[in-house]
Formats: sequence, structure tokens, C-alpha cells
Amino acid sequence: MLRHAGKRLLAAIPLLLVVPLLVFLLIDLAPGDPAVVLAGDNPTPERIAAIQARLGLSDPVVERYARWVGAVLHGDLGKSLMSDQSVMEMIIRRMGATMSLVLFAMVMAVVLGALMAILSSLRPGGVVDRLVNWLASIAIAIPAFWFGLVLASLFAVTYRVFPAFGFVPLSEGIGPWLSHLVLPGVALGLLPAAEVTLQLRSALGQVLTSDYILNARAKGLSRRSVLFKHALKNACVPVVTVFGFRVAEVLAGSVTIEIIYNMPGLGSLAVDSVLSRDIPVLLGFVLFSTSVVVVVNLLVDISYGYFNPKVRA
Amino acid sequence: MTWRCVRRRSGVAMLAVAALALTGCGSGGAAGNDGKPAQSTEADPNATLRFTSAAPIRNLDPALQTSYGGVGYLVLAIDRLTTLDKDDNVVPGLATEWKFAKDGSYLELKLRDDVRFHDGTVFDAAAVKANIERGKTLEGSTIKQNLDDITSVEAVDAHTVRLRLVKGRGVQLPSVFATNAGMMISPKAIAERSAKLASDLGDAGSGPYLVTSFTPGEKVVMKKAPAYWDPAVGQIAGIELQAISDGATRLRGVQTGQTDLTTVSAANDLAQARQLADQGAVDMKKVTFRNVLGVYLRANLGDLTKPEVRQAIAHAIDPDAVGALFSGSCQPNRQLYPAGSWAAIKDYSYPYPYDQAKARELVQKAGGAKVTISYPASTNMEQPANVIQGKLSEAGIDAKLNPVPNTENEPRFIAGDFELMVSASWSPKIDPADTVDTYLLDTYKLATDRGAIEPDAAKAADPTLSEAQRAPLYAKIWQTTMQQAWYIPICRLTVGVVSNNKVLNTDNVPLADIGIWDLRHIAVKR
Repeated sequence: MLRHAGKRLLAAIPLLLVVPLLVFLLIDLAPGDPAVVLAGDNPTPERIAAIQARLGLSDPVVERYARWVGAVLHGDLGKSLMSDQSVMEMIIRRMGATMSLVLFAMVMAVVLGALMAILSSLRPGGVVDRLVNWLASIAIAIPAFWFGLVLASLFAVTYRVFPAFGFVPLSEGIGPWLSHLVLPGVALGLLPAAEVTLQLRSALGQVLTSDYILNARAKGLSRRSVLFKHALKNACVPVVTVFGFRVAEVLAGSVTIEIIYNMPGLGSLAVDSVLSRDIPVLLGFVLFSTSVVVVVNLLVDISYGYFNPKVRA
Repeated sequence: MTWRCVRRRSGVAMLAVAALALTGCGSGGAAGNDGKPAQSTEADPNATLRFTSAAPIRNLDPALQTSYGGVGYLVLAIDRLTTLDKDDNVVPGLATEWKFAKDGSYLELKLRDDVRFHDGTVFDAAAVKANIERGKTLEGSTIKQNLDDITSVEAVDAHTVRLRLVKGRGVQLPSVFATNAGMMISPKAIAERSAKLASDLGDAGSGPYLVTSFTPGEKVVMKKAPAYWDPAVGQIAGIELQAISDGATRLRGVQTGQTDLTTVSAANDLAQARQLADQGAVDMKKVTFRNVLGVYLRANLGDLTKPEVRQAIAHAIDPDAVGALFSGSCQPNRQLYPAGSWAAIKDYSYPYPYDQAKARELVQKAGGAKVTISYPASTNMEQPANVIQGKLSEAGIDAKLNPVPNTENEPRFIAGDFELMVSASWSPKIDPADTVDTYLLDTYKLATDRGAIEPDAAKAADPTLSEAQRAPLYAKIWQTTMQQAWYIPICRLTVGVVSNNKVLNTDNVPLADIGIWDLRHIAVKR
């Protein structure tokens, strides 16, 4: 298993190099110049040229990329062109909000999705099954940003149960942390919850009609024991695969939710960096999010061994 | 021409001058929402105001601001040589009075003698010299251009400073000193930690508040300075200023009590704010934007080199159709200066009223026309750009839309990348000389036929002339600008100042009409 994990990590290195290169090329192809933005409200050609020279923006793209990779290998993600802050520090400071949001959304997706799928699979074709299927289909069709606005309007403005926006770090107490996460987390977690529901419901449907389950039932095992000890573990393999993809999707979806709820996270940082052509910040974000996706996929791979012993061999 | 506390203006302004003089040229006392001074018993000195706005601030160095939005944060912590009152009159700040030499060779400023920076350093003529020289020489300085007319700075005595000027230039300096170009920071901080000021202003300012925490692009937290020379301002214990890009989120903040005060300018946000105000959920004051929503044209690019095409565009734009997009919150405006200003054209009518038939005729005369309309994407300029495209197409012009990221729209137009831009960025400066430099001759360079306005602009910028002598020269320049259709003014937007019912003095927010917020007079009820 360790060897397998090591191989996967090595295979991720080209990905970590290629994705930032693509970002470099795309930014280079797109019209616009960060020096123009940095030159202020009254830019002059001389000032723009001076900024370009100071930041090396007129150097060839390959040279700039090589310089960036060299710095990253020394643990330096550079400084923001707009605020002169360390990109590493900016990412670390903003990571808390995004990771909390993604964690909340994914935990909700798994817990709610599993619950709905299990309830639904107890009586296939029954009222609960049909209701769950119907609700999950609606949830898939609802855009997260719209749902986020509805939740804010209802539970922050009308009933004043949760804050309308903002983020409080966990260090300031679990209560305030959770209260700021509920609305954005539910808005973001609804889609993956619906997908987990449908995926797990479908997998459970197949597993529950397989021979070994019928055999277990024939031996007199209780329905609960069959479901939780035998069926659920096997049904989880496709769900875990989907889960890996969903983490990347939720990370991307956090951009709009962070803006709606004014959360100081990586998503809003990414949007700002794109709009202001703050290339070092954008590259830092891309490297970070690519690394998260690589690590999550690796964990998903490793988890196959737990769910399916055949993979361990 | 001499300035004593304020420049001569209308009769009403003269009364204000007299009032200011009687109060020792200090800033006016705080006024309540009803226009009367806020009762001291009403305001809570221990309160903290939570304010949100769309504009972020990325650094705290006044000489390195890349956008004017940052100025609204800095004015609370850093004093300026002059300030603006809510009616855009230039009033004393750290300079109590100013006058130009009879031959216009220098501008002399008398300085307050009771001011210390928060680090204990005395504010004096040497401090002014250090700041102006820094602004002119600092690498990356964004105020260098504002200070270009100053050739050298002399300290006449501890509280008098003389700025030597480029011949025939510098008339706009008193009003420029009310921006970040006139912000004074401690010479001790300049000497010891100039490069660090951007991220840590510390006690380098002398304003009514002190920055206690700064998260670039997100939030600035300030506390009341222990002693301030103007007791009428800085009435609360602290202010938290937060940047929130989404107007609906800012409104929700005030509505739920999570924040106290915000501003909105998008038509839908204004409509919602009005509805909430009608229900009594929030208070709202409206401020008509000084900026003009209009169309910038590069008369030296593409088909816009043909005067008939520019005239056709001017005739084809229907100001009522654009105004309708804002549900009455964009006041028709076809001048370059707000009516009532001494710099506005008197008895004036716009040369190209809406006339599609005339526009079509001009397009045919030009043998057809093709233009690309650039505008800041995902802003309230999106709909006006679409309406304008429709009207130009109706007139037979092949008009294409070019949405551009908001941060790049203006800089790239200035760089000459676009031929036509829809924007609300035309901001008539306090002094028209600054407007001519910014939009016509220098930065935006709209005046492609410089000879048509340059002689008048040079004459009008003479600091020895009075406003009455300068006004007709500017009227001629504005008329040429609109005759040539270098710029097409359409309307002036409205900004809503939205607060909960505990916030006092929301009708006394200087700079609000240019979209930034000087909150020094704001107080919070007990």
C-alpha cells in the first residue's frame, strides 16, 4: 500500500508542474497587464514600464515560469503584486475559512447522503425511497449560490438564527465557528449530499440483492447487521470514488459561496487575484488546490484497500 | 488670488467661511441626521462603528494607493493639508490658510501649530517638506503626478511652508492636498520605516483614529486617537471598516444588525434599500454622485477618427433609456461639471440631443461605422453598455461589446487599448485644472486635437486668476470637448448611505459624492 501511495505521489509531480504552467500560459495569452493595474488611477507609460521592469513582467513566459518553479522548490511562493504580502502567509491565513467550509459541506454530504440512502434502501420503491429520490433530484437542480441567498434571507434576515455573513476561526470557540458555517456549508453541501444519496442508494440496491447478502439473511442475521456490517462497506466503493471528485467540485464551488457570505477564504482570494492579475497569488492558489485534489485522490485510493481487501493485494 | 480658510465661492459658501473663521478654521461640528448638531448626550463615546463598503484597501501608504477607494480608509488615520466638507468646499486641514504669490511662483501654506503625530513627532514645515519630497521620489509613488507642479519645498519658519511652482501651474494644489497627495505622515516614520508603512502604519499618522489591525483587501480596525486637535470629530471609541464586494451582502449586514453602516450604488441594491427604509428596517440617505456616467471616445482610433461617426454616436445615445435602467437613480446630466459649480457652463444645451434620424444620416455620410464598446464586466455599467450598443446598431453602426475586468477597464483605456468605453469614472475634480489634466490633456488624453484647448487650459491654470476669470475659459474647453464628442456625458448615479437607526450624522460624510467615505463625523447613539 505504501509503495502504491508513493507511486501516486510521484505521478502527481508532473501534474503539479503542468497546471501552474497552463495558468502562466493562459494569463500570458489573456489581454491585460498587472503593471497597468498597479500603476494606479493615473498611470503613465513610464510608470507602467518601470513596474514591468521591477517585477520582471516583460521577461519571456518560460523564464518567468522557471524562476517561479525555482523559488517554489526553495519553499518561496513569492509576494503579492498588489499588497506585497507573502503568498504563503496569505494562503495560510485564508485556508482556515475555506477548509472549514469544505469540511462542513463534505461531512454534511456524507452524513446526510448516507442517512437518506439507507432510509431509502430499506424499502426499495416505497414512499420514503421515492421521496428521497425526488428530493435528491431537486437538490441537484438547485444552484448553490441561489440556495445560499435563500438560506441567508430566511435564517439570517427573517429569523436571525445565524449570522448573515463572515467567518470566525475555530480558536474563538466551536459555537461561533459552527454558527458562521451552517448557512454557507449547507448551501455548498446540498449538491454533494444529493449525489452521495443517489450513488449510495444505487450501490446499496445492487449489493442488497447479491448472493452473499441473501445468504447472510438466510442464516438469520438481522437486517441491521446485514446492512451495516456487510452491505454498506461494499456499497461504499463507488461512493468513495465520487467523493474524491466532489471535494474538487466543492473547493471550486466555495468561490461563489465565499463571496455571498463574505468569507475570507481562498475562493475569494482566487477571484481577486484573477481580476487584478496578481499572478503569484493565483499560482499559489492553483498549486494549493491542485495539491489538495492530489492528496484527496490519494486518500481515496488508499481507502479502497479498506473497503475492498482484494485491492490490498 | 488669496485663500483664507476656504476659497471664495457662492454667497452661501461665504457664510460657511465666516462660520468656519469664527470657529478658528476648524472642521465643522458634528451634525445630526436632521442637520442639527448631534447632542453630546446622544452619542456613545464607547461605541464601535462597523462600516462596510465595496472598495478594498491593499496597503496603508498614502503614496502607494493604486485606487482612490483606499483614501476613504486612510483619511481617518492620516490628516491632510486641506480637507473637503460635505459640499466639496476646500477647507482647512493641517494647513490653516494658503495663498499664491502674486506672480504665481509659489504657494505658501500656514500650518497648525498644535499638532503632533501619534508617535510624538511635532507636525511642522519640515514634516510637509519630508512628505512632499517623499511623494515625488518614492519608487512606485502614485502621487508623483499630483505633485509634479511643485519644483521645491522651503520651510519659511516652523509653521509656514512655501512650495515653489512650475511657472503658470499649480492652481489645483489646494484641492489636491485634500486627497492622499496631501496626507502627512511622521517624518520619523519616513526616516525609520518608510518601506514598512504599507503594511504597518502604526502611529505614523495624526488623524482622529489609529490603525490597530489591518488585513489587506479585507479589513481595517481603528481606535480613537488619545488626543486629537479637532474635538468635533472622532466621537466614538473605534471603527471597523470591512470591504464586501457584494452589495446585497452589505445590505443584509445592516438589516440584521451585524454591521451599522454601508453604501450601495447598484440600481437593484438601491431599490431594495429604499424598500427596507420604507419599512423602517434601515435608514437611507441619498447622495448624488459627482461622477458622471458617460462614454469616452478615442478620436484617434478606428472609425472614431471621423467626426461624423463621433457625432452620430452622440446623437444615437438616448439618456432616458440609460436612465430608465436605474429606476430614476441616475439623474440626467449632459455637462462635465455639476450645474451650480462655478466651473459649469452657464446657459447651456448639449450639442447632440437624442436623434436617431440624424445619427443614421451621419453614419451614411461617413460611409458606415464600426466600434467596439468596452465596459467593466459584472458592474452596473453592463446594462448601460448593452442599451448603448442597441442604440448604435439602430443608427446603423456595427457595434460590438467588449466586457473587461473591472480593475483593467480604466487602465487599459488609458493605455490606448480601447476606442470607446462606457464608464462612470468621469469625476469632475474640485479644481477644473485638474480635470483638464486628468481627462483631456494628460492621463486619459481624450483631447486628440490638443491645440483646440491647450492655450485656454494654460491660461485658465494660472493661479493668479480669480474663479470669475477662469470660468469662461473652462466653459470654452468643455464646449470644445463636447462639440468634438471626445466624451459624451449621460447621467449622474446615486449612492445610498444605509445605516441602522443608531448611527448619527450620516448626512455629513465628506467625499461620499465621489464614492469614498470620510467617517470622521459619524457617531453612534447611546
